Amino acid sequence: MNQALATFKDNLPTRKDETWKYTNIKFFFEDDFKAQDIGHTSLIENTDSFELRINNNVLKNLSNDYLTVEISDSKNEKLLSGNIQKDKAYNFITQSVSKELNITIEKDLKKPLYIIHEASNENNLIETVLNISSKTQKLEIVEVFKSTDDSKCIISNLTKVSLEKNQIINHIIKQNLNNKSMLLNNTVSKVKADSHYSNVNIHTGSRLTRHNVHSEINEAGATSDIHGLYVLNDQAHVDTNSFIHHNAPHTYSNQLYKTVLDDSSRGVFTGLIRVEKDSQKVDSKQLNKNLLLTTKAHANSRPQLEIYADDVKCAHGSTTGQIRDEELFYFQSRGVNAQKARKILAKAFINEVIFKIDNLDIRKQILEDIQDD
Amino acid sequence: MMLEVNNVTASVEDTTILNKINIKVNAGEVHAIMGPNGSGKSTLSKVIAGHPDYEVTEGDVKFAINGKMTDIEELEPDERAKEGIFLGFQYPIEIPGVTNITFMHEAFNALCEHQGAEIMNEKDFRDYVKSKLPLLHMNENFLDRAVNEGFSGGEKKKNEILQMLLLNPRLALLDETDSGLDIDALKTVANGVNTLKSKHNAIVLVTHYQRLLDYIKPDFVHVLYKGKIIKSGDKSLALELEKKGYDWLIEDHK
Repeated sequence: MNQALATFKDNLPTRKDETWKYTNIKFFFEDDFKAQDIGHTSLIENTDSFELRINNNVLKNLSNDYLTVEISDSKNEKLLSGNIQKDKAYNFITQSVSKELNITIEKDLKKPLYIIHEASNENNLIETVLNISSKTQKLEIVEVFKSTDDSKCIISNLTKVSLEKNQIINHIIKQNLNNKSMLLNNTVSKVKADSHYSNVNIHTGSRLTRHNVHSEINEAGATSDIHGLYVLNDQAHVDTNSFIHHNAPHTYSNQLYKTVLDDSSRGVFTGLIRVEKDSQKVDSKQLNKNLLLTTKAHANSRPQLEIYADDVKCAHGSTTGQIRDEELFYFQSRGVNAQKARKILAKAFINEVIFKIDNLDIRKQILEDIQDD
Repeated sequence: MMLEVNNVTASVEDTTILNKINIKVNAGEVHAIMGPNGSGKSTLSKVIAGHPDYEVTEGDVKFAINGKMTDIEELEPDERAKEGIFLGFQYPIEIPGVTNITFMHEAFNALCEHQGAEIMNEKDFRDYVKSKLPLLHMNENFLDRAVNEGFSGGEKKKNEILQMLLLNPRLALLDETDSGLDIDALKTVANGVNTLKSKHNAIVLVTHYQRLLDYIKPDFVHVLYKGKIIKSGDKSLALELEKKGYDWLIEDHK
C-alpha cells in the first residue's frame, strides 16, 4: 500500500472536520484499494474533438500538432490560501503521486479537448494530477469521470488550470461513475488579468463524490464562473466544497449550484467566498438551489462570506424545496399527468445550469446523457 | 346532458365550502355563477376540475364521457382535462424554466395521445398556435417566455383563453377570467370565449361582476351564497344584481 493511502486511511476526514460535516467516507475503506498498473494513456483526434484518455495510473508522454502531454515530477506547489489546502482529500492526492501530467495547448484546437478518466477493475485506486495551460486565447475542456465496468473503484484526482492574461477557458466536468465507486476530485484554477474561467460541473453518478473547487482570482478584470449540477438518485452522495478567492480589485465571480435529489440521495454544498482587504469593487454571487423529489432525499447548504474590503457587491443564498402542488395541478388541469409534469419541472430546474454551457453541441449531449441516466 | 352536479357538499381542510349544490349543464349552454366574495364560486369550478385540496363529502359530479353520464370522482385532474374539462385559472401559475409553447405543446400532445390522434411536431404546433394569436392580440414572443412569468394580469388571462382555444374543451370553467382586466382586455377575452362557443361546448363563467356578461351572454345565472345556490334565473337576474347589488337576495340567508 502506498504511504499516502496509509496516512489517509489512518486519519480519514470525519464529521468533526469543519468541511466534512455531512460526508462520511469511512465505510468505503473496508475494502483495500490499490493502484493497479493497467490500461494506457492515449491521445487521438476525432472530427469534432480531441480525446485524451487517462487510463489507470499508466502515464505516457504524448503530443500532436496542437498539444503536448508531458510527465514531470510532482511540484507540490502550494495553494495561496483557503481551506482546501488543509483538506484531507486534497492532501491525499498531492502527497500520493510522484508524477504529474502537464497538458499544454500549443495551437488553437478549434474543438473541445475531452479528458477522460476511466475507472475499471475491482478495488482499483486511480490517481492523477493534471496541470493544464494554454498558449491560445480560447480553450474548451470536457473532463469526464466514468466507470467502464461495475467494479468498485476510487478515482483521486487533482486538475489545475492556469489562465494567462486575456484567456477564456471553459471547463466542463461530467461525472457519471457507477453507484459503487468514489470520486475524490480537486479542481484548482488560477485566473490572471481580464481572463475568464468558466466551469460547469455535472454530477449524475457515483456512490460518493467529494469535489473540492478552489479558484484564485488574482488580477483585475478576471472572472471565475463556477456552476454545479447534481442529478442524483439511489444512495448517491455528492459534496462540493468550494473556495473562491478574490485577490485583486475589480474581480468577478458567479456560482450557481443546483441539485435534483431523488430516492435517498444527498447533495451537500459548502461555499466560501473570500474578498481580501485591497480587493475593492469585487462583484461576487453565489446561489445554491435544491429540489427534493422525495422525503428521503437530503440537501445541506452552507454559503459563507468572508469580506475584508468595504466597497464590494456580494450576494449569496440558498433554497431547498419540492415541486409545488399548484404547479403540478396547473399541468394536470391541462391534461399532463403528474409524473410527466414532475419530469418537465425537474428539467426546467436543471436547464438554468445547462444553459451556462456555451457550446451547443456539448449542451445537447449533456442533456441527452442526463435523460438517459 | 353534459355536466350534472348532484347535491354536492365539498370541504377544504374540514371547512365546508359548498353545501348541497345542484347544477345541470347541457351542451350549447352558457352558465354564469355569481355571488359575493367568499361564497364558494371558485371552489365549485375547482371541485369539477378535480383540485386535490377539495374533498367532496356528499353528492357527486357526473360528466358525459363517450355519451354516458359518468361519476368523475375517481378521475385525476389530468384525466378530467383529457375528457374535455378545462379550468381557466383566476390566478394563473408562473412556471419558471418552462416556456409557454412547451407547456401548451405538452398539453396538446397529451390530448392527442388520449384521443388516439397523432401527436403534432413542434413546428406544426407553433404554426397552429400562431394562427390563434391575432384573435387575442398576443405577440409571438409570448410563446417563448416562461409560462406566465412576468406577464401582466391581462396577459395571464389572455394566455388562459389561448390555452382553452388550443385544447378546444367540451366544458370550459372560467374562474373570474374578467378580474383585473381593463375594458379592452375584457373585450378581447370575451371575444376569445365566444369563439369557442358552439352547440357542442358548454361554458361556465364564474364572476363577481356582471360586466363580462355584456359580452358573453349567459343562458342561466346562478347566485351562490355561503356555499348554496340561493337563486337561479336568466340573463335578467344578472342585470338586476348589477342594479341592486347582492344584499336584497342574501337578506334571507344571513
